[in-house]
Amino acid sequence: MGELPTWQEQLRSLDPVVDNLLGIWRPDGPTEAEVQDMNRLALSILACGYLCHVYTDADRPVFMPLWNYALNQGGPNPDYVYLQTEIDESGTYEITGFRGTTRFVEITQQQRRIMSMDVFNKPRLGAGPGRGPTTHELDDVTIADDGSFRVILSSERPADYTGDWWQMDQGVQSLLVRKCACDWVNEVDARIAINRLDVRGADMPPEEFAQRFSDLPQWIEGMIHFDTHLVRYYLEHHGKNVLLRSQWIQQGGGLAVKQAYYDGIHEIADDEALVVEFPVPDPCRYWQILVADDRFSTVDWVNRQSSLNDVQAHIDDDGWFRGVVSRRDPGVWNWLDKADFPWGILQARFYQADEYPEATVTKVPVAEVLAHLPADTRTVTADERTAQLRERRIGAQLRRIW
Amino acid sequence: MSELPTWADQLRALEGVVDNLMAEWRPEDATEAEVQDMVKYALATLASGYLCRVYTDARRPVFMPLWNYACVQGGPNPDYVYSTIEIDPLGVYELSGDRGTTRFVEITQQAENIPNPSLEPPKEPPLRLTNDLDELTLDERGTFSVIVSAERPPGYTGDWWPLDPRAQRLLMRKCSCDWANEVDARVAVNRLDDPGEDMTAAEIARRFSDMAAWIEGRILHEIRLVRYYREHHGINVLLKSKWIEQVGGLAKQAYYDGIHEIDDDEALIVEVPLPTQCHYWQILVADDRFATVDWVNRQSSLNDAQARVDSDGTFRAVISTQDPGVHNWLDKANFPWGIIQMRFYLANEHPEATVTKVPVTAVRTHLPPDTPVVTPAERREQLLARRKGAQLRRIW
Repeated sequence: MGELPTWQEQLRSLDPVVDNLLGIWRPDGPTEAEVQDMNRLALSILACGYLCHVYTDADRPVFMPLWNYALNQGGPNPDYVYLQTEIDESGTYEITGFRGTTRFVEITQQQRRIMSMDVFNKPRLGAGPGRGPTTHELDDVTIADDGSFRVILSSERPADYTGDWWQMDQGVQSLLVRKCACDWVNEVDARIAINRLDVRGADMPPEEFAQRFSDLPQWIEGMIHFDTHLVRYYLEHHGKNVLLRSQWIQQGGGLAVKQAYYDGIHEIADDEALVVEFPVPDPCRYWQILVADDRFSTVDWVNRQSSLNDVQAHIDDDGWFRGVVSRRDPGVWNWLDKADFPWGILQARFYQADEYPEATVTKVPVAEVLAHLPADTRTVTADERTAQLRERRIGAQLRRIW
Repeated sequence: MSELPTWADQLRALEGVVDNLMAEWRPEDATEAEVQDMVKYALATLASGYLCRVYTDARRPVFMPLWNYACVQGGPNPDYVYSTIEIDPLGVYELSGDRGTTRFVEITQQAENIPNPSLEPPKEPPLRLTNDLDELTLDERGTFSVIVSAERPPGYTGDWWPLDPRAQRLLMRKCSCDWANEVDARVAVNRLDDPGEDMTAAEIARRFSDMAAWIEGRILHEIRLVRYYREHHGINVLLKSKWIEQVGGLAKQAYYDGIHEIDDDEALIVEVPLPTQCHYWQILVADDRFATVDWVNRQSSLNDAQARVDSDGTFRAVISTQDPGVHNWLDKANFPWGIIQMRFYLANEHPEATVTKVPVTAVRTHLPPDTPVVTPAERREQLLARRKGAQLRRIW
């Protein structure tokens, strides 16, 4: 009947996605568990693609959940809630809501709607030479007594409008929101709505829906390939069992305005551990460390302690953070649980810090970890670990994801 | 190498889904737009299936988003946020969080894990055990904690809800009327008797393999329910739900259902003398799959905070495709026919509703003379405020 692709045709076009990804991720052949894990990841990013690319509409925008514990790509920072909406660079948008009390809320103007290797190869397609994509934060705008805000985003300030206004960069195609919380239980997440003011929009025509569904193989492959490749970049350029300031981020010059990323590969045996040490910069508006697998899927942070931030971590009396990356529980508060993955990424970030410390990473037998840590290192019993993980599970669930 | 299904195998198992759904939804010819709309519907339900069936784990539960503006099957009430977990009836679960300020938060125990498309009445009364967060003790910060288990844990004196041996799932309904200003509850769940473990490869594969049944079961059930109402309630009426009463009724809530089927130049005037006491009421329009009309971008529902009630205590609404210029417009969009549904929650009486078909241009002659006119500019503001409110609700 129609010219548009059928359901079967759309599904068939998704067929090669997992084989292509397995070819990149496990070129020498995956285990059965790895095949199923990639199936699950691809299905999850299909769901993410529906929410963020098929449902969304630049004329009728809604911030949709992009990366989180169930849609685990892009090396999500467990402290961040990531939301995305497509927008049109020629549009006039109002962003409204309530600021909440979380550490910060950033909104980045992105020059793309779909991740691809192009993003890796030209990481800083920004608003101009040497500039990254523009990032605003809610703390830049006026917050009313009831905690509400309203800001207009457009290429030019609307005539006679004197309220908060953010300039839209040329070529912007989507907005990425990052809401950062450290005390997951007690900080109040921002509530954010977006409306397009210059166009009313219409129901999505069947042709556009079909096109967006047809984009999903690229959505899935592009996103997972990008991050799998980025992990291998760090393997090649940073090396194993290290934590170095990100060469990839630095080479772009963008994010480093506010945030320094540190990356390295972890690759240890089950009876080994990595002791990660750095002096915590002071001041520093926010810092955090996480472990991910070798596709940049962050290790399940609802059920495992795979990340620590400046509220969750214990800092030693000398002002240093010392964490232990391992599969087995080393019995210290600052355990970073790498789960069963054979290797993966270790990543730390410092946000608005005055200085960027060097981090050391030392491989030791997991049974000897305490011998490599200060005598006053905070240890935990099995019961204390259970309580710590229960509190973490609650906190992760109390965050607002969507 | 493996006995488990490949990605291609799993996709192949989904291939028949849309044809099966189309055969029931549009047994005669379907337009291309309808085919694509069903494809979109199936894709949305696959996404919800990933979140609520593949990701979820009764040993490591997390409330996941089930029905919402992006996943509209099940006739979602726009005032409700629906979340779900799978549950083991032998487990001991702790629910904790903040009550918030929304109208109510209900948690219902359900016996079905994968939806059954059949409308056959169950042989035994269905499991409909529902608890409400307002049964619980709140501390001064508004936080709560309740244990849900088959038996009260020994020595535990705090809040406790019994878990039915048939329970497979919990469905949470968070109801808000002033979407922008009420504060949604935050609810976490932990299993206390079993720490769980990473899902096995075989379990991932099995759950992925459930997706065809998940999509078909959910959508077919609702397509059939709409047709039940067409047959048993009729067209352009709004009657107390015979289906709900046939399957045992609901203790707190009365549902009214009927079919709307009008031309683009026609309108339905719905008139309901409101109960003098009612904890919550609401009305919505959906299509003929029980997909609620897009409530982010259209005024397809009204609740007791959004609606305008006439001075005689009667709620009067106008269902139409064209804007009739009244506050209580229910925008049925372009669907040829579908469902009208109204609900009264904890009401002291269940009034009769009348439905009158009129030309949309003649609507005013059938409404009280003091019914205010809504100009296009005012409608624009009303819809922008609605869009904002819908987005400020916490979905997940």
